[in-house]
Order: sequence, then structure tokens, then C-alpha cells
Amino acid sequence: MPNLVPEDWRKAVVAILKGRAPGRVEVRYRAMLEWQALFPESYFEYQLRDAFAKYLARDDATGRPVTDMTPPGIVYEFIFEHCGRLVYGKVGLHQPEKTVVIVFSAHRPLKGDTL
Amino acid sequence: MNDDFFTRRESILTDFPVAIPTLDGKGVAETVTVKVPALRDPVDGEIYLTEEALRILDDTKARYMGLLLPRQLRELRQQFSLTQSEVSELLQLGEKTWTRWESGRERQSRSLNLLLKALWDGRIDVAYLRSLRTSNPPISPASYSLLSGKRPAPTNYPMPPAGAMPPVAEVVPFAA
Repeated sequence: MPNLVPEDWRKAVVAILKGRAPGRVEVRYRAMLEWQALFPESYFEYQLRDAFAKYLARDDATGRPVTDMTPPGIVYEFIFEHCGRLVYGKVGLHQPEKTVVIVFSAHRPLKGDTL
Repeated sequence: MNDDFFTRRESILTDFPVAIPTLDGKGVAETVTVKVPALRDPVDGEIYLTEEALRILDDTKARYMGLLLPRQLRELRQQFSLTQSEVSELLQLGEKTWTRWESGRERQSRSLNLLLKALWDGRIDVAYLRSLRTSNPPISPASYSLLSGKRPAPTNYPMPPAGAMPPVAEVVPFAA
């Protein structure tokens, strides 16, 4: 069952995605390929960040925690609509020495990708 | 374990296929491959694109689309000795828009890029843009109807009360 994504986590992730807080963003190689395949007309990488940030800024953003990721940070998966298309996203918030947001997935929901 | 992940990854250069959009933005015109810095986890082979890699991908797209790059925008602004706030005002942009363009956080649209290219190429200058701000105040529908003899389209413009319209000669000072 999807639940509301915790506000603290959302706010921290959005702030870094939008460049409003110290920290860095990494995108898994295949997530970037997936995003490009889903939005071939999407001009720039920052539009991926903006799409994720826009959804996660919503108070009603729902998702599910993922516990088996590498690295084992606080990771959520969620499905949202962007430009008329459904996107399955998976994002982690990690804190080694500096906060890092990792975009693990950004693709069309596949069979079984239900929340 | 978390720390292990962030220290064990190795820096590599990897190829990434960049899709260049068509002019109408509805498809892919071509795909070019660029080398970008990345971090590879030796445990599972996963590759992570760094912020530098993401910036290179966006710069590649921008270059192929003919957009001025962030550093060129900064050069352009500095060439005219303008602050970010002044250039924003001159181009009638939102306060932070130019800042985001200059940092690469966002990119200018293709249509606005035409104006910037004209500035960059010296086809127009800042004095010209400034003159547009002062010599071309917006024409209200009421004035337009006096000039053209056509009935104005309904708008939300505040209309002056009946009898308060200025003579045509005052609306068009340079009319013969």
C-alpha cells in the first residue's frame, strides 16, 4: 500500500534537486537512459530533476519505502504523471559526509511496478 | 556500509548517447555520443553520473541546438558591464531567470536564444534594447482604435470614461 511520502524526506530531496540546499545529485546511468527513452523530446537533464521535484513538493505525494538498495539510504519509489505520461521513479537520500540524492529509476511503469 | 559505497567507487570516463531534439521539440533529430565522468561501483558494476557529467550532457544538447552556453551568457553580460539584475530587467525576465541560465540550472528557450545570439553577434546592442523600453510603451486597445479606426477587441484593460479620450494628435505625436 502506498503511503504519503514523509514530509521531512520530501523537503530535503526537493531542496537538493532544486539546488536550494547544499548537497549533490547523482543519476544512475540507466535511469538517465530510461528518462531519455521516455521523454525523447525532453531537452535537458535538469527537466528530470524538475519533474521529480515538482511531484515530491506535493503534500499528497505517495510512495513506498525501498529497503534493499545499494547504498542503503532512505529510498522511496513512486509513480507520478509528467507531461501526460506515467513515470516510475526511485530516489534515495544518502548522507555519507555530504548529502547525496541518487535518482535510481526514471522510466515508464513496467509490469509489476504498482504501488 | 553506506560509507563503503561512497569511497569504493572508481572514477571513470564513460560514453553516453545524447538525444538531440528536433527543432519542433517533438522528436529526436540525432544522437551523439559524448564521454562523461562517472563513478562505477566495482561490486555490482552500476555507473552513476555525477553533476559534472549531467552538465556536460546539457551543454552538449545546448551546443547542438545552437543555444549560447552558460559561460557565454556570463561573458555577454560582462561585455556590457551589466549585473544579473540589470540584464534581467533589460530582457524583461523574471528576477532569477538569468541567474539560472548563467549557472546552467536552466536553459533559455530557442526563441529567446535568437535575441541573445543577435546581441552576441553584435547585430543589436544594449542601447537598442534600452530604447525599446522607453520609446514603445504598450498601446491600449482604446488608443489602437483611434489609430486604426477599428473597434478594439474586448480585453481586461481599464477603459477611460466616455469623453475622456485624448485627441488623436496627442496619442500619435509623430503623425504627419
